[in-house]
Amino acid sequence: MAVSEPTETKPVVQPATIGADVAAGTAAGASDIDAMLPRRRSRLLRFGVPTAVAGIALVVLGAVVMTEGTTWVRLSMIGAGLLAAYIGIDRVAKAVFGATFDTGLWMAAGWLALITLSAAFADLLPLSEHEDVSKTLTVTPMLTPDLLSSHPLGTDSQGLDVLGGVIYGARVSLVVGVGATVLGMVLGAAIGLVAGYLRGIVDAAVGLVGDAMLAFPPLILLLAMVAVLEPSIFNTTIALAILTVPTYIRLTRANTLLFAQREFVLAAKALGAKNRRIIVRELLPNVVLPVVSYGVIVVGALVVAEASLSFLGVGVQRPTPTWGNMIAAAQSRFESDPHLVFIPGACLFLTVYALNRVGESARAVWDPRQREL
Amino acid sequence: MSDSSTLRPTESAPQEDGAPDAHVAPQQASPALLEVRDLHTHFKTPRGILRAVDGVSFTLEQGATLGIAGESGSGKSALVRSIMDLTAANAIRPTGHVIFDGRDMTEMPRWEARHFWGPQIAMVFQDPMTSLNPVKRVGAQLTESMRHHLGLSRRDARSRAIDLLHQVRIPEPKRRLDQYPHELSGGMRQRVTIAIALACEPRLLIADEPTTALDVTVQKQILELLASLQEAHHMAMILITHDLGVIAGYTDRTAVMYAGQVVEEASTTTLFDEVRHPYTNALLASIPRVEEASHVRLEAISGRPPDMTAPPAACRFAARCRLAQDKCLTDAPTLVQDGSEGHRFRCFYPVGTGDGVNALKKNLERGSSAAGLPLKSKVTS
Repeated sequence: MAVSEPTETKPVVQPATIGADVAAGTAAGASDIDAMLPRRRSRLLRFGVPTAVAGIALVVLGAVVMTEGTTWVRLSMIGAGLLAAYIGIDRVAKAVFGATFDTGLWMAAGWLALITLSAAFADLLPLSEHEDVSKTLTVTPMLTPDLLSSHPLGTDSQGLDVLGGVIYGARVSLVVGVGATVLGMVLGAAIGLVAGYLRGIVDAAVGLVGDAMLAFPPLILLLAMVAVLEPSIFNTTIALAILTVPTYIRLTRANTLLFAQREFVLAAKALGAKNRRIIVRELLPNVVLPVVSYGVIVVGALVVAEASLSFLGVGVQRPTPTWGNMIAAAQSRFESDPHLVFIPGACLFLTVYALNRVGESARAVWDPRQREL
Repeated sequence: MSDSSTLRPTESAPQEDGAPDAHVAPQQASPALLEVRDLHTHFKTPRGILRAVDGVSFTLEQGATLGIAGESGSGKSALVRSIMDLTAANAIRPTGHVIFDGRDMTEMPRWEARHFWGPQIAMVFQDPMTSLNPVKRVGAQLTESMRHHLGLSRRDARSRAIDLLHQVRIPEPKRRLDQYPHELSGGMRQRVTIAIALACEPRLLIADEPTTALDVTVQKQILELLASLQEAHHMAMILITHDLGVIAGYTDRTAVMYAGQVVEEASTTTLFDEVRHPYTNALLASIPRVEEASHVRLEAISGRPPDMTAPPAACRFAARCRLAQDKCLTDAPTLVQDGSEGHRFRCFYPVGTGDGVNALKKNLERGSSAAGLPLKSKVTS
């Protein structure tokens, strides 16, 4: 807000503030911003539309048409095509929705929606066998990706469908990531609220235990827990949840301290409210936003953690496919068939990146420091 | 809620001031509504025990207003917070007695005392920016205590909330219920906190500097509102302020606090007509006066209040007092009663008496008070 005001009052400075995009146009109409905006938009469109079309064409060429080409060539074509398509779509979107449109954020949200929906409705999708090796005896192993075949992303060394594996793997990743985050959040927030509100001995004890847990190397803690528990989705979730609890205790406690000093807490006490009521009705609603927005980022971290555990063979086990164990199974064939590593790897990367992107935006919107009272 | 009937003053024990038939007509107004006896509130601090409230006693009649004045740190807020048992976590449990409506609240278990907060005693805080929960709608904050203490249904509580907002003169009360505090102005928010305090029809309202955080024009509106509501609901009120102008205009009795003690207490008219304590006198002298020429230097009280972790054993104001004599530095004055209807003060050489005039004369001749405070010849009293 504050930045846009001077540009309106002092038209002379405008060209510099608009940026390099329109630097060429400065000589023509330096002081006339209204005349420049449509020109800027058409410039964006003129550049954006062909770039986007070329990029998409490159992706289609690499993914669908060139089924005979070597995997490395196809992968680089798809990568370059995606980049060009992103740049093009970004320009077009900015031209259509205005210069502040955050294309990356919407794409991230779109990816999350896609991955969540396909994981949720995986059973309804026409996917080939991805789990039971006895049913894939007739399927050719190591099929290269062909988007128009019944194995759009190819098959692995046992003839299992890669697309099916990736989608069912998303299910595991999301269930573990979201489940562990929610569990850790509920536990940590409850403890943090009580500690931050009551202070004193409770706070000291909670702080001590929390700090001790944070000081312990997380991977070793995880490996130890997983070694004791049986490797399963449920146990992985529990182990990861325990890992996040101290972080949530700290976050919630810090926010609780901030609000517990406010007079509305005193006012509630003056009206005869009990501690439980103050914590649940007065403090929790204030603390919940920053804690939940941080949660989105934690989901991303836990998805990576789950994949790492599966990759190491201590997480969710075969035959249940996960991104981690798919990568682990394919790593020996990385040179000949890199797509078997790249496809689950890309899913992992995109999902975590999208979660971080959305989480950052959520935090920017809900950050208590930016919320004026 | 079942025991709420026992909280009503039906069985109020007869006080020593001889109300003969307290249980026949409890509303007869003769027993004091609130009696505070020798209240001490101390805090544990890294520097030692801080004696924020150090032996305060007063009584408050039904429907009357008591003003408590004093500078920052004199223990005004700590006093009322101890009355409501709202002291901070590092407080040592207050000693002394708080007798509300014939029942000693300090001897009551907390769960029982809780039923007094809200329906019997309510409080309005200084800063309306922080005394409302920012993430809860005004309506929810208003109706909560009514539903809890009075057992009203959601619907009844809501219609009463509209009525309350109307009483505190908030326009469009219905729409306000669904708004958040940040959508209201400062004055409006303070009106909401007053409405919340009034929700359960308390018999005593404690207003802790209710106008300090507000604009001057809004201050007057809020004070007038409090005064009119007090009359309409026949409430007693304790009004804390450091503004003697507010005290003069809106209170029946006044207690001036200094360093955790009441140094002077009288009916407000008496206090302003016959100031006795040098501190009260100095406070009055430091008020800017409209009739004086502009750029006249304000009379300030030199020095600072004593360190309350180690208050002087003698008179606590002696170091800053223009009248201080040797006796003030060795002996602690007690709160003595003057002839005129309950005028009490804590001074050996009260202003406006022969002793006080002589003490000032002596100090002026010497050029300094007994505590070494340099005196200029200008006489204020």
